[in-house]
Amino acid sequence: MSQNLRRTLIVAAAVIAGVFVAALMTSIFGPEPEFEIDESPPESAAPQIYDDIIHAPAGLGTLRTELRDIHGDPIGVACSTCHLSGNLGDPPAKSADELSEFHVDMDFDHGDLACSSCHAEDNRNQLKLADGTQIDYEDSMELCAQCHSSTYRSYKHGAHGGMAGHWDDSAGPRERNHCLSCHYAHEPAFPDVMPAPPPRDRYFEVPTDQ
Amino acid sequence: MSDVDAKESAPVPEDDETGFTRRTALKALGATLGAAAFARAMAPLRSWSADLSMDEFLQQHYHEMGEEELEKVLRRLEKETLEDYGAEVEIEDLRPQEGVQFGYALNLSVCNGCRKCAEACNKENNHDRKTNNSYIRVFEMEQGSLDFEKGTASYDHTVPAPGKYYMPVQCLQCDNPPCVDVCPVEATWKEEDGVVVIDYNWCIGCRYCEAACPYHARRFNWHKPEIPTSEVNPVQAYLSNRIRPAGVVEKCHFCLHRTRKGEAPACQEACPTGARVFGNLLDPDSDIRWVLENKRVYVLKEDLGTRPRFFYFFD
Ligand code: HEC
Ligand code: HEC
Ligand code: HEC
Ligand code: HEC
Repeated sequence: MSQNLRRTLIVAAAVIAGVFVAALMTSIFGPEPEFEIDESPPESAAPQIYDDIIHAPAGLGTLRTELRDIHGDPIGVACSTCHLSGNLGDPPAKSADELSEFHVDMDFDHGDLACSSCHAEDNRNQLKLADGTQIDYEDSMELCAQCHSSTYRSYKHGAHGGMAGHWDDSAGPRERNHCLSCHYAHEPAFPDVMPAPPPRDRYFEVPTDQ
Repeated sequence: MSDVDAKESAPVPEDDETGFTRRTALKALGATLGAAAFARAMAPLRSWSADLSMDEFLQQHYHEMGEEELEKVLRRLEKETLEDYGAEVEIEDLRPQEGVQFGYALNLSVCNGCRKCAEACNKENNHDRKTNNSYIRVFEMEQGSLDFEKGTASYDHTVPAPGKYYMPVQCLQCDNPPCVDVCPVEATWKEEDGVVVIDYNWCIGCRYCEAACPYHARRFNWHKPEIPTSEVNPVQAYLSNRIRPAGVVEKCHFCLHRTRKGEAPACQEACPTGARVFGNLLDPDSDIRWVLENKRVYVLKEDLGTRPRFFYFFD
C-alpha cells in the first residue's frame, strides 16, 4: 500500500470515527459546546526542507594576529584600525611587488591582479565587485564568481567544493565549504600535501606481515 | 560436501528456484545431526572462525528471515561485538528508500590523491587497522592514460606529483554486476536503490565474486579485523559496516548505514578537495544529475557492459 493511500485511509477512518463519536456525544450530552476549530493543516504535514550551511573561515577580512580566541581561531584586527579611509602607502601600492612596508611579507600569486581588483579603496573593511558595489568579506564568493564563473556554477551544483552533512535536504542540511576554506585569496593554488598511508594489502595475496 | 545429495538424507524445503538449496541443505543437515556431530562436521571451517556458533550456522538468508528472526540476529551480532571488541554498538536493518537510486561521481581534475577518502573508509567501515584496509584504492596515474590497471596504489610521496593524476576506485555498484551473477549461494545481490550488498553471514568465502569483478573492488577478509574498542564505529547496519567475520568477502556499499538516512557517504565528507558528488539519480535537481547532464562523464571499462553507477569526469 502506498504511503499516500495509507494516509488517506487513516484519515478517512479517523473522520468516520469522529463523526460517530460526535453523534454519540450529541445524543448523550445534548448539542456540542462551541470550539474554535483550527482548520489549517498541522505544521508537520509539509516536509521540512533544510537550507545549505556554508562554513566560512573565521576572521575573514581581518589581519590575523598570534592571539587565539576560545575556539583556537586567530584574533583578527579590522583593516580600518590602520586604514581609516583607504590607502596608506605613499604612493599607494597597486600590486604586491609595490608594497614597501607593513604587508611586505604577503605572498601573492593570483594572476597579475591589482589589490584594487578586489579591495575597496575607500573602505578597507569591504571588498568590491567589478561594478563598484561594496560587499562584506563573508560574501566574497560573489567576488570569486565574477572571474571564475564556470567554477562557481559547478560549485553551486556541488560539482566543485564538495559537501558534508546530508545529500537529502528533507533529512538535514547540506554543509558546504566557502571558496576561501580551500583557496587563500592571494595565493589560491591548492597546497600540495603528504597522502595518508597506503593500504598494506595486495590484490590476491595473504598479507605477509600477519 | 557439495557432492552429497542432502535432499535424500535430510528434510529440505523445496526451494530450487531461490537457489538457496545447497546452503539450506547444509543447515538442515546440521539441525538433524545434533551439536556434537555438528561440531565435528564443522571442524575444517573452524580454522576460519573459532567462534562460529550454532545460532550463526542455523541463521537464514537475509531475504528469508522474518522481522522477528532478523531482530534476534541483530541483537546477537551486537552481543558478539560487545564480547569480542568490548564495544556497545547498534546494528540496524536499513532498507532502500522509495524513489531513491544512488549515483556517485568523482572530479579527476580536482582529486589530489591525498587518500583521505580511503582513511575515512577504514574508520567508518570498521576495517582492520593493521592492514589499513579500505574499500577505496587510489591509483596514481600517468597523465594521458585512463587504464587504472597501469596505475600504482602504493605511492608514498607529496601529492600531486608532477605529470600525474589520481583515480580513487571503489565498488561501482554496477547495474549489471558480474560479481552477483557468479555467487553460487546468492549471498550478494543488487538492492532497489542500486547498492550491491553482501549478506556476510551467508557468504561462504569462495571468492568467485572477487575474481569476477573487473575493478578489484571486492576484498577477502583474511583475518578477524583488529580494532581498538574506542575506535569501533558503533553506528552499524547489517548489510554494511558491521564488523565482518573472517573468511568472507566485503566491499563498498555506498555507506548505506548513512546514505539511507539521507547522509553523505564518509568518503565524500572526508574529501578535502571536494572531488566527490553523491546523490539521488531520480531527483532532477540533485547534484549528481547536474554532473551527468553538464559534464562529460565516463565509466571504467565501459566495453564490459557492467553499467557502473560510479562516474568520473574532468573539468
Ligand atoms: C597595522 C596596520 C594595518 C592594518 C591592520 C592593515 N593595513 Fe593595509 N596597509 C598598512 C600600511 C602601513 C600600508 C602601506 C604599505 C605600503 O605602501 O607599502 C598598507 C597598504 C595596504 C594596501 C595597498 C594600498 C595602499 O594603501 O598602499 C592594501 C590593499 C591594504 N593595505 C589592505 C589592507 C586590508 C584589506 C586590511 C585588513 C584585512 C589591512 N590592509 C589592514 C597598514 C595596515
Ligand atoms: C582576488 C581578490 C584579491 C586581491 C587581488 C587582493 N586581495 Fe586581499 N583579500 C581578498 C580576500 C577575499 C580577503 C579575505 C581573505 C581572508 O581573510 O582570508 C583578503 C584579505 C586581505 C588581507 C587580510 C588577510 C591577510 O591575508 O593578511 C590583507 C592585508 C589584504 N587582503 C591585502 C591585500 C593587498 C595588499 C593586496 C594587493 C597586493 C590584495 N590584498 C589583493 C581578496 C583579494
Ligand atoms: C578580477 C578577477 C579575479 C577574481 C575576482 C578572482 N580571481 Fe582567481 N584567478 C584570476 C586569474 C587571472 C587567475 C590566473 C589564471 C591563470 O593563471 O590561468 C586566477 C586563478 C585562480 C585559481 C587557480 C590558481 C592556480 O594556480 O591553480 C584559483 C583556485 C582561484 N583563482 C581562486 C579564486 C578565488 C577563491 C577567488 C575569490 C576570493 C578568486 N579567485 C577571485 C582572476 C580572478
Ligand atoms: C573543498 C575545497 C574547495 C572549495 C570549497 C573550492 N575549491 Fe576551487 N579547487 C579546489 C581544488 C582541490 C582545486 C584543484 C587544484 C588546483 O587547481 O589548485 C580547485 C581548483 C580551482 C580553480 C582552478 C581550476 C579551474 O577549475 O579553473 C579555481 C578557479 C577554483 N578552484 C575556484 C574556486 C571557487 C571560485 C570556489 C568557491 C565558489 C572554490 N574554488 C571552492 C578545492 C576547492
